[in-house]
Amino acid sequence: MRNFKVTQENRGGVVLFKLQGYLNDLGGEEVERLFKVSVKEGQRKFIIDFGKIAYINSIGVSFLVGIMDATREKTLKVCFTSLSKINDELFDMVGLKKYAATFPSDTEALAYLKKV
Amino acid sequence: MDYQKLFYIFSTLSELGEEVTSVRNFQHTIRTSLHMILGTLSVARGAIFAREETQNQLSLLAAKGLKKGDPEHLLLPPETEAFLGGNPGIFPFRGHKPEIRNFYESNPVLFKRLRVMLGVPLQVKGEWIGLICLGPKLDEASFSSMDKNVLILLGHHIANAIYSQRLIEALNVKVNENQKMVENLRFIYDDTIRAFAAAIDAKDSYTRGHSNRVAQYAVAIGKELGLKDEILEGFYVAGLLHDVGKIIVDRDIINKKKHLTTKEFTEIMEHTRAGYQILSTIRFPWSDVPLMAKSHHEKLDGKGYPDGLKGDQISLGAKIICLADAFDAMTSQRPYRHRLSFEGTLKEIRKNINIQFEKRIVTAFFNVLKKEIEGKLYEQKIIPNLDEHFNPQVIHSLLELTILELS
Repeated sequence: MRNFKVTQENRGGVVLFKLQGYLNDLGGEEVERLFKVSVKEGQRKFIIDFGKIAYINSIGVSFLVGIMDATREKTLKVCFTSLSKINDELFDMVGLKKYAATFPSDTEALAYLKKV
Repeated sequence: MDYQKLFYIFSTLSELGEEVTSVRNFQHTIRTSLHMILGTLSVARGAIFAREETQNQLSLLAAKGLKKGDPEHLLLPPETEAFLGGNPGIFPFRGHKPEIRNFYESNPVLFKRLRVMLGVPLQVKGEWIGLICLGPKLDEASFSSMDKNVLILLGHHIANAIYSQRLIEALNVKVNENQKMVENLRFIYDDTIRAFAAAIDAKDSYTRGHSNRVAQYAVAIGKELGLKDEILEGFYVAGLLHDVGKIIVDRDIINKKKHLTTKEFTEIMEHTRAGYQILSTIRFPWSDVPLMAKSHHEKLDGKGYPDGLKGDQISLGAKIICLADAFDAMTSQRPYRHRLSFEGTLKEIRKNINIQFEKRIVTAFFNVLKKEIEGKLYEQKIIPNLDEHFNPQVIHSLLELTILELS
């Protein structure tokens, strides 16, 4: 199922990825690829907005684990925003929340990243 | 373990089962399977390898965490191969087993890049067919016994996918071999029939290549009529063998320069029945080849031989062979008469429509000739055989006029 979309914006030195649809097949690889390209370009602060994500399975989680793995190596800051209750619990269960701060909205995440 | 975690694992198992039994390509299935394992256990790096029995190595099927240019094979020291073949179950790479230490040291680039922690041998029916290698968990914690149980379950699905792929590949090799064998048999079959046709024609010093031309003309007519390739193949073979019964006819009668006596003509006529008898003993994939040989001298008006069949009593194939045979006979030099010109032949055929030849078959044949003159066909099959300089405009007009009259 290729019902997944990712868009990328730069908000004053913070890269914002907005995800949409189903993060449940190899199509989700795009978000990890875009993240790694941004890191190569020197970006250090990221927000991943899950507000329009309908479903995440283990394949989707594997790409987010890949992102978190890169984060740990290069002292990058990543925030997750607009997580539904079920995805919040999922990220907690698979350990992703240990490596990314979570916020209800992009605005709050942006404010946090400007301070750190 | 809480229900949420169990649900997550079961969802992955269910999705993996669906993936490995889907009709997607193998590469996609294996990559998807790897990501399912990594996502379920929160591992960032890992790879799936297939065992190559003949080369003492493992080939990379899918990986996460490797870089472009990294090796795509794992070298397999003999002691490691023996160890993994002994059904050791999941094993740690950081242990002190010499079989694994040697394995690690033989493949430093891949294993360092993967930060390999755990190996999961893949087995189907007791046969070791591959290996999953995993890096550390995201939080660097040890793999729990539940993690290992999950890996065994997921690994079982992946092993089956690799095993099925191997069976499919082996089957494809066999299918290709069989196809080649069938093709070779086909060549032998074609060559045999052509050689047989040449032997028939050789009996008559005037009819060299006759059977081959009749076969070509019959196929051209059938094609113009829109018949299927399998039927055209039958026409081709029938064209080559339609005169096979002539082997029972005395060579002197076949080559006689004067008109035949009634007795001699009766003997000539017998070639149709003899041909039928000979061809009926051969199991052709096309059922009416013997009948086409038997009835190719029948006429629509019932005045042909050997059975005096009329109209629809004669098969389509026999009617087509009849026209092809008559056309070649008229345009060839014979011991007892000179050949007719192309124009004369067409007029003769036209005169015999509904007497000897069926209207729609003549129309199809004339259409083929017209297209050949107009250069509309990829390859000319009839006109080059005529060996005659003719006025194309005259012939074209005659063909057009006849087609118009018949339509």
